[in-house]
Amino acid sequence: MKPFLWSLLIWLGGIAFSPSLQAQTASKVEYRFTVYGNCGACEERILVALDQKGIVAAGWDRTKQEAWVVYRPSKISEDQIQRFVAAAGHDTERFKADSAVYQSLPDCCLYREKHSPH
Amino acid sequence: MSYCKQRGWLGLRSLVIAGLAWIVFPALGQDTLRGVVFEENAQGQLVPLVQAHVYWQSTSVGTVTGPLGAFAIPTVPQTKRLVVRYLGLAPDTLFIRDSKALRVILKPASGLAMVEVTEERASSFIQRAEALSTKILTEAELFKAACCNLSESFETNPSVEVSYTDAASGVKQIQLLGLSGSYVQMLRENMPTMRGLSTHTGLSLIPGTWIDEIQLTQGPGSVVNGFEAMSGQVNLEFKKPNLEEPLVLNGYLNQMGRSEVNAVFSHQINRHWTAAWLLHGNRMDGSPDVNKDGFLDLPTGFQANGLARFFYNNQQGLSAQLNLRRVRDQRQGGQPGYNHDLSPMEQPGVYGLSSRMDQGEVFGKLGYVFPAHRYRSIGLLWSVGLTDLANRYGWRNYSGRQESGYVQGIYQDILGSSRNRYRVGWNFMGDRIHEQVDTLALDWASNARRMDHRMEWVPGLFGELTLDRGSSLWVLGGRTDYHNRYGWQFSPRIHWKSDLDDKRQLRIGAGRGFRVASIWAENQGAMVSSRALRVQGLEVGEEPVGRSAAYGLNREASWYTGLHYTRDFRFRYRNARWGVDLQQQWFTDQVIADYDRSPGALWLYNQPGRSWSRSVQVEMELQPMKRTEVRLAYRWQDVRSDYLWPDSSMNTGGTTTRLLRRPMVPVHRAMVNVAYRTKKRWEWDATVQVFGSKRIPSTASNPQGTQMLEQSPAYAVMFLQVTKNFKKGAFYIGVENLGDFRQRQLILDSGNPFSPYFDASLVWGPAIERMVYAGFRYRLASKD
Repeated sequence: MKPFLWSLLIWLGGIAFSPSLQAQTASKVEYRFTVYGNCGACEERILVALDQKGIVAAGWDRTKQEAWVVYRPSKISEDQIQRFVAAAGHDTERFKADSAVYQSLPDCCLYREKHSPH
Repeated sequence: MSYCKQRGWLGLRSLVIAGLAWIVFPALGQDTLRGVVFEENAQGQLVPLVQAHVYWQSTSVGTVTGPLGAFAIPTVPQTKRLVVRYLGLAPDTLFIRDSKALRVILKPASGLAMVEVTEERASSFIQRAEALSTKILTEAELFKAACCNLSESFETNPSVEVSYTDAASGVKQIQLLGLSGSYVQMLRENMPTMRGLSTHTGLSLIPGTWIDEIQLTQGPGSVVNGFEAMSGQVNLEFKKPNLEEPLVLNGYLNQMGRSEVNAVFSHQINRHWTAAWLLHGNRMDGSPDVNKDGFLDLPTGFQANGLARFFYNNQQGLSAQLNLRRVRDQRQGGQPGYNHDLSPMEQPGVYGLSSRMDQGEVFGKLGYVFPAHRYRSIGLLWSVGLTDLANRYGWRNYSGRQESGYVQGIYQDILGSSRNRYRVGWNFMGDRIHEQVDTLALDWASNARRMDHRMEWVPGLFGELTLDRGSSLWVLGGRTDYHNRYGWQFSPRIHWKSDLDDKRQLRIGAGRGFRVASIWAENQGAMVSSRALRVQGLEVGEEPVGRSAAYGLNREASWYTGLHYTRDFRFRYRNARWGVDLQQQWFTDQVIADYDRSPGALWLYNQPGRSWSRSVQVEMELQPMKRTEVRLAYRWQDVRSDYLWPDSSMNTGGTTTRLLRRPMVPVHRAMVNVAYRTKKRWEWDATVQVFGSKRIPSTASNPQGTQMLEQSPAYAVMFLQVTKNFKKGAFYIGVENLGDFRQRQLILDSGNPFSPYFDASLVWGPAIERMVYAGFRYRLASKD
């Protein structure tokens, strides 16, 4: 029983803390770039688009129309990151979203027609 | 024309309600979405926004906020997207999952707009704006432990413990602060429930899938809900008519042979009425005896359970609901050779165990919000119920019947501004309880019968004042009740919350609660043993108010104080939180269940000295990786009471007291819960619960071979569940007790169930082997 318990705790400890060990070897970079959008639904979509290998954490500030990511340059580039967002239908400072994808967005997200960042 | 007619009818109705009584509002008006729109000014104060536009996207259904920023908008079937606009501020679109109260905060023209939507939240969280330390467990949290009824719903919560009451009946009970669940007041949508005879089994009569949300308050909650909250308060919000999801289905199957089906139907009857039908059925067939002790591990049987809900809303402030519930639960267990169609006397030497519980109740609410005063409302809550049970434990029969009634009236309003709110009202609780415990013997002459009848009438008055001072919040409450058997009872309660800064919060709560113990219903675990049941009444002259007290025992009363601190921080770029809870509860009166005085008896008597529970809990929630949540908790608890003990120093037959730890309560307890979600909507949930050593009631005077350990070993139990979510539902498969750790010696002298040493009530650890289960959930969504 005891060894089982300990191995369990060590295993769980491993789950909880192993990323922090990796973190010491791979360097992470914070990066901000412009992403257009309007509402909460946009934010959700942008965050899903930014959920990619190499991106550690991400956020989107509507009022600043700016995405914020922490990423590992060894695994993903800034262009690749922006392309993921554009592919979801949101224009970024370097890439414009495909108009077919853009048209399929719900009404509140049609930022090109009714841009309301505030 | 019709407008005038409606007004006249309304006026009359509101008069009638005013004459009758009153309610808490947020719980009502499910057809209407309510909320308040605020602007945060430079001082960080929230100022209600008057004349803000609120409407459903692409519809003509809209409204403007009233003088206090409040709005009420009827929900529409076409869309779930609500738009909030205010001149000069950012309009916003909110996605409304169900009709809960919204708080929308718009920041000033600097441009920063922030919207707090109550739906977008963690699966379990603390309400930041509330003074009471209340944890909200949402449906997402309940999904983490998919089986089966409410008692299991707390498996992933560090504050609550779940355990079997005995080794054969399969009934689970919760503990809070190391104290029995009976000190936790159970509320069903803010009305007291699971009292008296159903204290012990009530949780197993509520299917987990019926629950929309559980609100768990540490310490005595609000005075509005009654006097019985001592260690805590649990409010259950059932699913309401939800036109977005006309049908929700759930099926479940486990390795032990338990199958379960749940269904929730919602539909609209007409413009004002909606209805929901909540149905549940479970069966347990062919229970095995894995541990080879000659007893079925779990009893076989079934439960049929239904709740019909009818909601009314005239969209002009008046709302009402009517609910009808009926449940039957029947179980048969014990030794496999027992024939449940025969009486135990016809098959002496074979131990049979059976239970039947029937419950029916009707409850309702009626409320009115004054159109010109959005914060002013009156309401009436009422319920009537009947519980009937007949249980058999070997040669012991226990049966009972309880008739209950409850009415409550509430008036709520503000004093000057919405920063000072108050609620006042009255309630009346009535119970008539008959109980009978028979101990059979082979010769009929030695049959022993004990009957207890009691009638309780408890009228009460309460008042609660909430003062919002920006960074601090006070809730001052008091209630006074007159109990027909125990006289006047006063229960003051105070809660204070302070935002030390935007990351740190401190809460302090204190107060008194009291209750009347239903000793037979609450100690049914002890009936699955050869223990004699002994009640020591009050000494002559100690009668509380000259009337006959329940079982000749005193009511239970305690004082609680608690301090709760939480701190938000950033961990690996994500939000994280840790918190500490310091709690203590002092009993001034308690009914002590003494298993220690003799292994052959359960003594029940009034607390002869001190009795307390103290605990320190540290909890941390982290998101160490994307889509990963980790919850860690540790609790130290010290729960002790003075127990009577024969005084051997003076050979007078007198008694002295000795201080003992409460049995079956670990001093140390820890929990780890890890939830991980993949991008493809697979969810992994793992929970490990670690229990420190528990004290086991002494069996040292029994002969060799029928003794149990003095202290249990420390052990861990692990739960694992994998869920695959689809657009319309989910499939899940899980394991309980993955490590297969079990209490090996579960029943004392299990080979001789009629020997004086037979005892199945000493359960300290998992009684059930590793168990695999699987199930599905399906949601039919209406066209958006």
